[in-house]
Amino acid sequence: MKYQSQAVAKPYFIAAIGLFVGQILFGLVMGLQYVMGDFLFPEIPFNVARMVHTNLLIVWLLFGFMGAAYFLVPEETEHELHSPLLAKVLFWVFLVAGALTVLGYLLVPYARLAELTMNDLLPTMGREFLEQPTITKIGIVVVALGFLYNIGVTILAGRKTVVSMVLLTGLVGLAVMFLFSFYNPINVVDDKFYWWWVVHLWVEGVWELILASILAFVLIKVTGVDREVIEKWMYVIIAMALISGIIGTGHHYYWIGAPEYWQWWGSIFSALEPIPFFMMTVFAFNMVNRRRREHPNKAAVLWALGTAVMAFLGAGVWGFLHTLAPVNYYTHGSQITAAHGHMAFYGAYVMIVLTIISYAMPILRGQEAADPRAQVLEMWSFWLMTVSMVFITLFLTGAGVLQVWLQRFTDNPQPFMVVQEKIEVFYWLREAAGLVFLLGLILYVAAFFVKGGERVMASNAVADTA
Amino acid sequence: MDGEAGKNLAVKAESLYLVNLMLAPGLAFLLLLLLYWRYRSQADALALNHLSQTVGVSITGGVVLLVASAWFVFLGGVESGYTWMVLLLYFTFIHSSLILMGVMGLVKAMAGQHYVFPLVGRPFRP
Repeated sequence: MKYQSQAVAKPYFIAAIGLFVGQILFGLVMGLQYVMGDFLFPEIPFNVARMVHTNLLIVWLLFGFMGAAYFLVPEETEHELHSPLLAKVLFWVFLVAGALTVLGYLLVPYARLAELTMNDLLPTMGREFLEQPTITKIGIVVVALGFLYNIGVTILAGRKTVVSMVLLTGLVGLAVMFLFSFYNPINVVDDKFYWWWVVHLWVEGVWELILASILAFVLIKVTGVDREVIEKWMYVIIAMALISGIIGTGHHYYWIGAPEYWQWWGSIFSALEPIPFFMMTVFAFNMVNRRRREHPNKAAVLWALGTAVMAFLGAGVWGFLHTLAPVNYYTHGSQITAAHGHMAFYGAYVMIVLTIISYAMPILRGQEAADPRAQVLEMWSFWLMTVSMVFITLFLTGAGVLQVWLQRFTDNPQPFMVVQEKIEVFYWLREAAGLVFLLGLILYVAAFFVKGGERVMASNAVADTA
Repeated sequence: MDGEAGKNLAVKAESLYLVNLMLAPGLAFLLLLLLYWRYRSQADALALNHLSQTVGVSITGGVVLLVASAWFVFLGGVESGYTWMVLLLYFTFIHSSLILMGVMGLVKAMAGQHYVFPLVGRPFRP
């Protein structure tokens, strides 16, 4: 490790992986509930399993982003973290708050949880992905402010690089957009309108900045390509991400009661949204192809390239598939949306967090790269998780196309539950693919415990080619 | 044709291949054909490699996409949801694969390296 304070990233990464395992287990439970409706009922009803699955995803990705920031900012700024103690305290606050929230979902009926947490004083609960009790949301804001203070002061005190500035911009955006989760207007159109400012402007806006900066950081380290080259690519990618993504929010406004012009604005700008992901793919492969060093951490390189490809497919291609208003008229809220959501989240955000963990964890454990056998195991986990996610997406897309046809497109539309029975086979196949994903995740975790033959770093400093 | 000009031509060929798949199908292919027609006798080995690959794979890809899609519709009929399901999955899968192979081709062209598209590019090696 080049800077001692980078060590605070380690618990964040460990917590992220732990919560990731939880997310996948609840996903499998829910996948089974699609075909066996009373599975684990009433202990874990479908709505609770879904809430835990999606909330754990968000929380573990946030842990991953924070860990990534704590790891890369000291190296980028060439300055120790402003306050490692604050980072440690915030870690425990966030972990305990997250755990209590999930326990609340599991142990108490949701309405009772709202009462217990005094939601009536400032009602914010009851909305998809933002189900957290108000007190938890306030906790998230406190953690985010403390985190931003710590990272911001460190960046201001040290070297300013494009990577760290883009990362900071993304993280500030993340915090600012989350504030709209406290705005809960009575009018349901207004409510949905601003709800997307959190959900969409996170994943198709500011999170893309975080993604680009982490990817750029890892590529600088593992390829040795000049920082200036990578920074130029980053400027163009983030510009395109923001140009397309911000007004692209309109693709969520087609059918919620917003003005009709959003069908044009949303269609045009969200049709541009694959461009930054396409550029990211060209960028990643270009940098690896032009690499000036053979980094011993092959697994991290694989994750970095995989991130670019899967983000392009999941967010770009599968997003475009149903983003134009005339198509979305039939497809919105169907299994096609679920297919897009799964591959986009996995490709863009799960994989970038796993990329930085793959790169940083060996360094945090005093190695330049993990033992080759551990890397082989990790690469197996990469392929198992990635291929199974491709199949999950294909099965859900198949289910979605049939669903749209039978339920919405034909002259004689069939009821929702009738159609669900007809597409049951796809849900079984999705569950099977989910089990393969879990196997990949188990191998991923196991790779951390492979011992022997580590490539110990020659000095305290990692070869910084940047 | 010197090395830099050959590299530029290779990049143009790969770019047109990708534009044909993503932005302007047909039009970009015509431009790619023009490029091939004009430079096929004077291009250096690198440019010829990329020109041949992109033209050949564009034609193969078009056939694989359109003929198979038409075949699915012929077999299943447009009135069946299953036809559309198979068609959309097939089209998206093949189309995305062709794009990703094109990205590799573009990266190789930018680096001044030769490239043969996996599987579909083999018959078009100059």
